[in-house]
Amino acid sequence: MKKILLICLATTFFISCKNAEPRYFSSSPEIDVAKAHIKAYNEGDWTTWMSHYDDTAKLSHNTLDESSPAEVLEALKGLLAGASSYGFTDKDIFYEMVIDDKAEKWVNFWGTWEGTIAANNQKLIIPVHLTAQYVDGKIVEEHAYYDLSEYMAVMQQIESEMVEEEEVMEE
Amino acid sequence: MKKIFLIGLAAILFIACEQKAERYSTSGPEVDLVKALLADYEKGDWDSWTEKYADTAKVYYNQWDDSITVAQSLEGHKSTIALLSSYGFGEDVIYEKIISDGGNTWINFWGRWEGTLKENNKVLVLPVHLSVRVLDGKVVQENGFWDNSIMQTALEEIEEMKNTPELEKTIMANHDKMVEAWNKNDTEAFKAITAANVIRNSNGARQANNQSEYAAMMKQFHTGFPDFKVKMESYFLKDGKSYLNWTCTGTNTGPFMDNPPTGNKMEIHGYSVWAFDSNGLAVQEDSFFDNMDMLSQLGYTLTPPKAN
Repeated sequence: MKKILLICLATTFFISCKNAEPRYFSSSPEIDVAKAHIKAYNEGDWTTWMSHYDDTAKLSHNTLDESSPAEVLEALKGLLAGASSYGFTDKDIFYEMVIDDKAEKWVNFWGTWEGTIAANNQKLIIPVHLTAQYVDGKIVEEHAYYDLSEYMAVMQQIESEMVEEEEVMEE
Repeated sequence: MKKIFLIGLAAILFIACEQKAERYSTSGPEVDLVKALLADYEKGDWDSWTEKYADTAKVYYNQWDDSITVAQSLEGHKSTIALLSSYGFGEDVIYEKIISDGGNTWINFWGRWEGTLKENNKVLVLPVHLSVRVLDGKVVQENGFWDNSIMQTALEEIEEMKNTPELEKTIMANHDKMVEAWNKNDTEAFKAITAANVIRNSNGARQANNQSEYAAMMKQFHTGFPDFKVKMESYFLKDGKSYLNWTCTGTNTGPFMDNPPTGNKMEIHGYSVWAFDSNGLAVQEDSFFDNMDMLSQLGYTLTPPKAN
């Protein structure tokens, strides 16, 4: 009798264990896509970059408003236009995937963006956090958090220097 | 012997199972700690807030390398809050607890911060991500990610405004009132910001010679398009004139210029130059837009002239 009880107990644990599927991953097919996504961004391979998004993907970078991947790409290209080099470094880079209470797969990314502004060779280092939901290996929702204040300050400085130069030339 | 084996097996499975399940969760004492930390922040209960951090806690806001202390972080929060009449995270926040490969417990937070600037009542909305490491019931590390340029730009605007001459300020304010008057079809509001003999030229042709004629034209749009809206996309001011891009939208469910409604929607983009007098009242609008585009969207067609 005891033996049966123990077997039952073991079975119960085994089943409950089976049910408790892992919900945290430091590697997964979705993380591999996220890594390929960052690589495509670094290389400016926008075709590959776009291919990681679902057609109906909604992206929100530093805002609650939603944009399409094409709209975000356009904005990113605008930001990168003034950079002579850019990319995510290998330092301080973390990927993880969780399965949340709604059974959604979210890949979280923390990285370091490094770029050089062409006009004055100033180097910028911006920490970036991305959190993206994946369905069937594609990004359907993405939220990004990064501080653009230093970038804006550099751009404003370049602009005011250009205006000053123009004024000097006019004189 | 078998019994011991089975008990051992069950115990191993139980432990393995527990470990597996615990690497991700949305509740627990560490989540409660961070929730309480944010509640302290919102209440401005800084003693309680400070107590939740370990003495040696490191805070990284929008950077990886140079940490600040909790005292420095507090100073930063207080100086920002001093500029605000209200601030906080709403209800729509997400918390999760994860155990990293290194065995550390991290609470990740995603929220929507909203603050109102005292100076001009402007509401700022910032998406914020915090990643907080908790050890023995205290916060030992906090990493924060958000776009500070939103706040910086708003503060620069306030500074700029302080240096703006009164007349320009009046013109800018009247500009906003103009959009509101158009959107609400508010004749009285329109009259308050325009000269009595305000002129409107549309694509070079005179359309209105005074406030009443201008108001009648506004009414014509609102009759034809009861959901008529105009949005100011961008503008700049120079020498008492404003140069602005606008977008008009509406659904043609009412009679428009003696024509029956078509039920069609329209969205047109145009450009206006507004001139103001020395009191900041609008005296003339020169408006330019593609009339044919608007009529096409409504379903009108162009018939070529008959050949002679």
